[in-house]
Amino acid sequence: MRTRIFVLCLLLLGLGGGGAHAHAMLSSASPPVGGSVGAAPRQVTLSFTQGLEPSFSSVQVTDSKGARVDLGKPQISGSTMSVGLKSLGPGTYRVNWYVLSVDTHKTQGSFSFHVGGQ
Amino acid sequence: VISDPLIYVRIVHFSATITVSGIVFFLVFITEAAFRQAGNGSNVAALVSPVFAWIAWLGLVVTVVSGGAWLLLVAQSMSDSSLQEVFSEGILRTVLLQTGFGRDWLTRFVLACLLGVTFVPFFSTHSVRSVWIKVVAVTLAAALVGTLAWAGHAVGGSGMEAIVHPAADFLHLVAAAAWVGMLLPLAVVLAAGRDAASVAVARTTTVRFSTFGIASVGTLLVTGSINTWYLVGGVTALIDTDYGRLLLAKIALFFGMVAIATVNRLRLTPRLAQVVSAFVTQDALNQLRRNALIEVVMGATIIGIVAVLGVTPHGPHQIP
Repeated sequence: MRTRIFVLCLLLLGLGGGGAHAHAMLSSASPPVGGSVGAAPRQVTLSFTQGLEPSFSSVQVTDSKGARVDLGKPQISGSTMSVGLKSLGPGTYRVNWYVLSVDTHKTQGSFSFHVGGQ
Repeated sequence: VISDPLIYVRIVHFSATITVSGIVFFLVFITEAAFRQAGNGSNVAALVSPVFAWIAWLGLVVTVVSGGAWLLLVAQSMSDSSLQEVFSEGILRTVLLQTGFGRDWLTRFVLACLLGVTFVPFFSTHSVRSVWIKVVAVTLAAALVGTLAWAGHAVGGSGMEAIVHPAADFLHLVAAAAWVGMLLPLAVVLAAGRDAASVAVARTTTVRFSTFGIASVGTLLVTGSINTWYLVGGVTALIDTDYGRLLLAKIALFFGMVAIATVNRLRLTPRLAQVVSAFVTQDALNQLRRNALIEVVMGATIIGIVAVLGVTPHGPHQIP
């Protein structure tokens, strides 16, 4: 019996190799996090590790003076959220995102991207 | 984390739901056969049935009330609003109709109401339970506890995980109810009487519970392994994170319960069948009842850990 329990313990512990992603975390972004783009993007697209609740998820994009440059309500489909942008000039912009994952956990974050090359 | 009221609401709700579902499983799969075998010579059925009905009804009421409290706390958290704003600004309606959690809660509320309707004939003392009532009650009880899977970490995956993880968690919850939820009614039956007919009922009940328990433990092991696979990021995370350490404590308690169940199965239950002396039989009954209550405490501790796990993060929340 002890041997069986030991084997079962090993089974339980040994199987712990899956992905630890029970909250929605940013997995990729376009424009990329901290990146530079030559041409002004038409929208910001964020991909997360989990499905999002559209009613309680949002994103804001601001310029260096803090003024909103996004077009408002984001489009959310599954684990992807995107928001249209006004016509952007050269400069640094900040993306602030706030999402509620389908397992009811909130996460938030922010990053910058630069328009107009390095 | 400990100051989060959601933890305590989760403990109450998990406990109540598991108790309600467990007692339905216990009546249908365990005691009916035991009472039938004992025939009219035993008054155990008459003694314990009102207790079972009382536990089931109270458990169902607590399930609904604690479910409502859970919904309000989640709605507050989702919207960063006060309780008053949750009611006055349509947040509750938005949560219920436009989120996965809300739709799950609506479904579970309907399931609880239907189970309550089923309880009227199910616990009626004037009629024999029909097959249909038993099938409906077991189905609703399993669905009520299993759909808790959609209120936690099991949802949100993609690809195969989106199907396998909630399905594994559903079965995990049903198996937990079929084991932990049956312990309290088992202790009630073991305490019911000391005459020969009562001992016969206790023996049949214990043997059937033990057999059922093996299936539950097997299901818990397989589904628990699947959940661990999806929720823990490797062996290191089991040791280095709060989530991992809590999970290890839960697994340790689980194996402690398995050890007690093994003693019950291999040592104590056979004594009920041996006609050695009334003292030996009574001693075995006392030990079985004591062990059942110890397992109830261990099961309640596991539920407490599960309640904390549900609000414990697995990794960094702010990326980047």
